[in-house]
Amino acid sequence: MNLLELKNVSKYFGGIKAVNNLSFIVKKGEILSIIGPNGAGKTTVFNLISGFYIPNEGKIFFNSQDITGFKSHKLSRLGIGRTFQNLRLFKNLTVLENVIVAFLSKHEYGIIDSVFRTRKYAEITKKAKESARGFLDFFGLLNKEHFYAGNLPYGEQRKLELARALATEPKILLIDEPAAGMNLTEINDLMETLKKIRNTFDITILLIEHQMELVMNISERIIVMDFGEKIAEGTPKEIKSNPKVIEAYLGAL
Amino acid sequence: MRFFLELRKLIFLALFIYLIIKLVIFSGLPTDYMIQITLYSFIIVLSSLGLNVIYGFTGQFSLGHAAFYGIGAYTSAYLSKVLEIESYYGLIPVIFLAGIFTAFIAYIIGGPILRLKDDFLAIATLGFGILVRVILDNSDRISEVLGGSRGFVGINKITNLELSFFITVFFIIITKNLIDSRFGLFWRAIKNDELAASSIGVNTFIAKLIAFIYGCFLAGIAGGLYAHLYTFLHPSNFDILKSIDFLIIVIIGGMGSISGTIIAGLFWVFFIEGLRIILPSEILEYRWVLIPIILILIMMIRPYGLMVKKEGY
Repeated sequence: MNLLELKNVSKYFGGIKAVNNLSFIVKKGEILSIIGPNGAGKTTVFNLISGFYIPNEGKIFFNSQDITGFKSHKLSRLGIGRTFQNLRLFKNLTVLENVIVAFLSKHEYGIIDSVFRTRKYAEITKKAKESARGFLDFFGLLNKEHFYAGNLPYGEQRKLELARALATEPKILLIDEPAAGMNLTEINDLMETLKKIRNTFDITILLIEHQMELVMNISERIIVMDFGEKIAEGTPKEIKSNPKVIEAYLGAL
Repeated sequence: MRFFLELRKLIFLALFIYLIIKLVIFSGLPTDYMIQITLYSFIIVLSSLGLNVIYGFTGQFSLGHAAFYGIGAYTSAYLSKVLEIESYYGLIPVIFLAGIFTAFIAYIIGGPILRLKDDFLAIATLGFGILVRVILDNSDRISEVLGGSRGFVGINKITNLELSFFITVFFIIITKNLIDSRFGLFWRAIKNDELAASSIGVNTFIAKLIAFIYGCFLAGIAGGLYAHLYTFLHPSNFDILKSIDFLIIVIIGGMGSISGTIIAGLFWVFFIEGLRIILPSEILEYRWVLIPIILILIMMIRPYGLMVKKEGY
C-alpha cells in the first residue's frame, strides 16, 4: 500500500530548480532512503513533504489524500513527523517538556480548562507526562528529563529530537541526516535505534543520509538524487552497482 | 474547586499582603500620594505582565503595548462617563468590557501583523502605537467627551486598593495557569523555534494570536484601572515612551518570568515616583541620570533579567 506519493513535483528558487519533476512512492512500513551529493535537493524534498515549502508544480498524496499546499502543523496532525538536519530542539525547555509539547499539540483542551484547571486538564496533563516519559525511556533519556534540552550532549539531542517527533504519533517519520557528526560507535547505536523505532512503533521511515554504511544496512529501497532529479531507484544492491550513481558521486570518469 | 485548592497558598499570600497594606494605610502614615503610587504600581505590573506574555514568553516583540493600555483607559473612561458609574461594583463590568474591547482591537490588528517577524513586527507595532496616539489626539472629533489633545477630564475616581490589588492578583493567577498549560508550552516552544513548533503540530499563528490578544486584554484592564485612579487621561500618556517603560520592566524582570515582572514593575514605579518623595527637589531630576545607570548595570550583571535564573524559562 502506498503511504506517500510524490507526482511530478518541482520546486524552484528563482532560476534554480532545487527539485525537478520528482516522482516516487513510499510504501507503508518500509525504510526508504534518499541519498545524493550535497545540494542535490534532498532536504528540499523533506521541506515539501512536511509543508514548509509549497511545490511550484506537481502533487503530493498522503494516504491517498491530496496534501499539496497543506500547512506543516496540519500535516503533523495527519501523521507526518520529521526531524531536522541541524537539530531544532526547544533549547530552553526541559527534555521532558520538549516531548510533552508534541503530545499536547494533538491532545487538546481549551483555554477555560487551562484557566480553571478542570478535570480534563488534569487528566490530559497526567497522560502527557506518562506518554512523554515512555518515549524518553525508549531512548534512554529518562534520567535527564529535567535537563534543559540545550545542555544535552549532541548524540542525545539527536535522540531527543526523534523522541519529540515520535510523540506526535506519526505514520511516517522523515529523518534528516541523523548520523551527521557521529562516530562509528554512535552510528551503530543509531542503526539499532532506527530499527527499533520501526519495529516498536510500526511506522514508515523516510531517511536522508550520507553515511553509506548506515544507508546500505538499514534501507529496503534507496532513491538517488542529483541536481534536483531522481537518477536511480532500487534496492541497496542495485544502487551500489548503478553506473549513474557512481558517476554522480565520483564525477564523470 | 480544584482551582482554589491548588492555588490556596498563593491566595493566602495575597490576602496576607493585602492586610499588611491595609494596616499601613489605616495607620495614617502614608500620604494620599504614596497610596496612589502603590495602586499605580499594581496597575503597571498587570499591564507589564501582558507584555511579558506577548514578548517574554512568546517572543513577539511589541512596541505598541501602551496603545492597548490607552485603548483600555479611554474605553473604560468613556463607558463610565456615559453610564454615569460612581461605584466600584459598577466599575468592574466596565473595566471588563474595556478589556474585551481592547482584546478585540488586538485580534483585528494581530491577524495581519503577527505574520511578521522580529524587526518587521517591531516596526508594525510601533506604527500601530503612533496611529492610536494620533487618533486619541483627535478623539474630540469622534466625541467631545474624549477631549482630544486637551485630554479626557473629569473621570470619577473609583479605583481603590481592593480593585487594583485583587484584579491584578487574579490575573497573575490566571496568567500562571495559562503559562503552565499547553498554551504556555506552545508559546515558549514558539519563542525557541517557531518552525520546529509547527513541525510537531502546533498551529503557531493561532498560538501567537492568543498570546497577543490575552496580553493586550491585560493591558486594557490595566488601562481601565488607571483611568479611574488618575481621573485624567492625555494621549501623551500612551505613546511610545510608555511602551518602552513596559518593555524595560519585562526585560529587567526577566523575559518569561512572572515573578520577575511583578518585582520589576513595583521596583520601577517606586523608583521613579518614590524618589520624588525621598529626594530633595533640587536634585530630583538627577534620577534620570541614576535610573539609566542602574539599568545599564543590571543588564551587565544579569543580562537575562533579575529573576530568570530562578524560573529558568
